[in-house]
Amino acid sequence: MTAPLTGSQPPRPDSAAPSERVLLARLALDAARDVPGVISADAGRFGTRVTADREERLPGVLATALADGGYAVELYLVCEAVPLHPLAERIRERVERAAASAGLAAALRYVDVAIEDVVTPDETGIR
Amino acid sequence: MTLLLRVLARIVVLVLLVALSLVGLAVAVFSIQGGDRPLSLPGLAEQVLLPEAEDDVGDYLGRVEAPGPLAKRSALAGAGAVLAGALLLLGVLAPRRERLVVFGKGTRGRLAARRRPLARAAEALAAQVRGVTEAKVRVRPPGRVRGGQLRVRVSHPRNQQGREVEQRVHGALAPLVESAAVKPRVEARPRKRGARVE
Repeated sequence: MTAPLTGSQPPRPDSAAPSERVLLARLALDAARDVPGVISADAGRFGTRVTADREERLPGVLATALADGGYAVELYLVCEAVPLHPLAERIRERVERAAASAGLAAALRYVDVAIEDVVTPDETGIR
Repeated sequence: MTLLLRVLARIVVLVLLVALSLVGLAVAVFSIQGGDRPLSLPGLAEQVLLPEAEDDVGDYLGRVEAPGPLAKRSALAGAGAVLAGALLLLGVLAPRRERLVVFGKGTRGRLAARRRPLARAAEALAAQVRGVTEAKVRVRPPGRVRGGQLRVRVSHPRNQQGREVEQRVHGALAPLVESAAVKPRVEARPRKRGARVE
């Protein structure tokens, strides 16, 4: 299992404004990591699942432009051993809410969630 | 290993395609003229020493037909070539990545999980069930023809009823496999004598 990358680099103050795609990716990643049960995002074995924009790298999230002008977001996550279907629903709700707050609701088409790894209770030391 | 075979297969394919295109180009160029002229196919055969090659290969094939060390070496080389071809085929045909188990696909998006994390999640849930001392899970993702399966094997003390343990494990797994493309199959067995209880 690759070591999950937990942080996204904040943009430099003097950089140009990030694109809508990068904004959505960042919102989705931050929203997903705040959901209870989600431990971190995973950039994959070769670090290819990354949204990059100038100085910023967002591991574990891909935002893809669609033909109709909207964006599809894919999240690659490491989570606890919880029911996955409700977890994915909570993640989607948070991402949609975050996109709406940022005025990007119309740009977000759908959110795919891929569970890359599950950390069991004995590994987290919770129980 | 599969990754290495895949890389090798791609390199070989690239080299063969380049060689094939060069041969095609040469044939095209040497088809401009006919007869015995320089830019003709007989001219090309002369350029690549085909008549001499024909003599050499003819001699070689004659020696291969006769019993002897050359025949054995040729047979081994042939077997090696077949094996190399089979390995390259494996590199081309082997699945690219671990198959995902798709839980659901709707207008809001898709949920999928890799086999190993799904198995670990199922093991963790099954191990928490009362009466379960050990849990092992294997995931068979859905294929083109048959559906996926979550094979769960749990151990329980002898004073527990296997069927009741199985039902409890089914209940524990229900939230995990709900709307997933895998069906759980639970098998409960009494713990073997002498096995340690953790």
